[in-house]
Amino acid sequence: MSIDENLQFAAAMYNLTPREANERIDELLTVFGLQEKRKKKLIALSGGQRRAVDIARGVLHKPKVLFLDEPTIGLDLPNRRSIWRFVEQLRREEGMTVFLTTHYLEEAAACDHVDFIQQGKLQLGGAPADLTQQLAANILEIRTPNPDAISAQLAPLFGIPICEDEDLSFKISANDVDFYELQKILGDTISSMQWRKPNLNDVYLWTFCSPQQGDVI
Amino acid sequence: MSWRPVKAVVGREMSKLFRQRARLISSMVRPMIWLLVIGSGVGSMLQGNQQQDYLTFLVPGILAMTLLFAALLSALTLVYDKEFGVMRMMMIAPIPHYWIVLSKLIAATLTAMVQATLLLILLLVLGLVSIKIAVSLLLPAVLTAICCAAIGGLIAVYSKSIDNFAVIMNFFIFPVFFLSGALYPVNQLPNYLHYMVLVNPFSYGVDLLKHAVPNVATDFSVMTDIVVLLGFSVTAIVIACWQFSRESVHEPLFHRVNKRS
Repeated sequence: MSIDENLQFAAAMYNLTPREANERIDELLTVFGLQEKRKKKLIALSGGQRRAVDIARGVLHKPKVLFLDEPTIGLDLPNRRSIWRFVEQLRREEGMTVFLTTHYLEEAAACDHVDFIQQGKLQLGGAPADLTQQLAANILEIRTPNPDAISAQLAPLFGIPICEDEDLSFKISANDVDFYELQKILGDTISSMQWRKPNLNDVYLWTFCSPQQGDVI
Repeated sequence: MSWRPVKAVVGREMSKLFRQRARLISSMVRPMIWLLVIGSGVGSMLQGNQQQDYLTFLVPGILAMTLLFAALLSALTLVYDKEFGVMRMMMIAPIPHYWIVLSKLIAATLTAMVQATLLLILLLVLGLVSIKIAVSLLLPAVLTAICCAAIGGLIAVYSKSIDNFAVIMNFFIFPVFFLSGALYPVNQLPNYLHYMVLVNPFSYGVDLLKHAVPNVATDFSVMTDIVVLLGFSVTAIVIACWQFSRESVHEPLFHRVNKRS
């Protein structure tokens, strides 16, 4: 079956008239830039394009709720981005509720609500902004040839860091830390240092892999 | 309930039928082999007029065979669809599940009728039937096709995967075909085989087709044939719809997971 036939079939299953179906298929394929592939067979498409057709098929009838189970797994960056642009558009323009599972936490940052599930149990949940704010004011990342010494030096100030080889990651709750001053003090003992606002990856790491739980990383 | 999903399912099957031309042509080859090879082979043991009589006798038989294979195999695509995700697409659609079965059986009946019509045209060209007989065979063919689709539907809803296909072929299609009177008159069969013919709904389809051809001996009355065919078809379709509706949406998925582990 061609993409067109496949989508027409799905549309008919949802009782869309051929005219409605055609308009909707046009609209959806345009968003994904698949308009000129409309008459092509499904197997002629790349993995990302096929995923796009899957999603298009799922939203043909404008459902109120859309479930996406790891929609971008195995896709390259342009395809991932086009899928997210589209999902955003659906939320914005059609007021669709999207349930999403993903391992790429940056994809979840745009959600209204995020839940972390581990071993089938709900561990932590909330709005992404709240979760990151609750975690820390800043995340300080330091690369150093001597992680143990730096860790020992800074632990009294910022707590135990997450340590990966030469990389240390501190979560800093205080708002008034003078990072420039700190940079001067550390001087040559570190090879790089950066501080930034926490994101969902940090929330995940500090919740499930925090040093208190036995330094798993 | 709207007809659009039904039309879509039937349309999909029809476009598959006409797109796979090689399959359509090969479905004509099988009955012709039976007719010309078996017909002539067995006929060679008979004398004079009897040879021609046996060929005439075989015409409704091989027409019934075409209907049986076409309708049954088409109905069995219910199992194929289960394996390839199309079924999930249909099952999550907002239509009652039994309509999926009904649509598939309508498609199976139509598929069988398309093939039967092609075969009749071929037989006409070969001069083995007259136009009058060919036309009068059509209505009995429809009833037989529905009956065969119903048998196929019943098998399909109780099969979990296409792995069972060979089993289905050997345990259903061949016995149903050979114990139906399609190839030989059944009244001289040994008792235990004769009973099997009697409980085989397909026998009544074959018999009804024979009624449409003059000078061919029949085993039951037209009324019996029609009542049995309709009775069986309705019952089988109801059971198939009921069983199919009981299956939950994700059950086909679980079978695959189980098989892998």
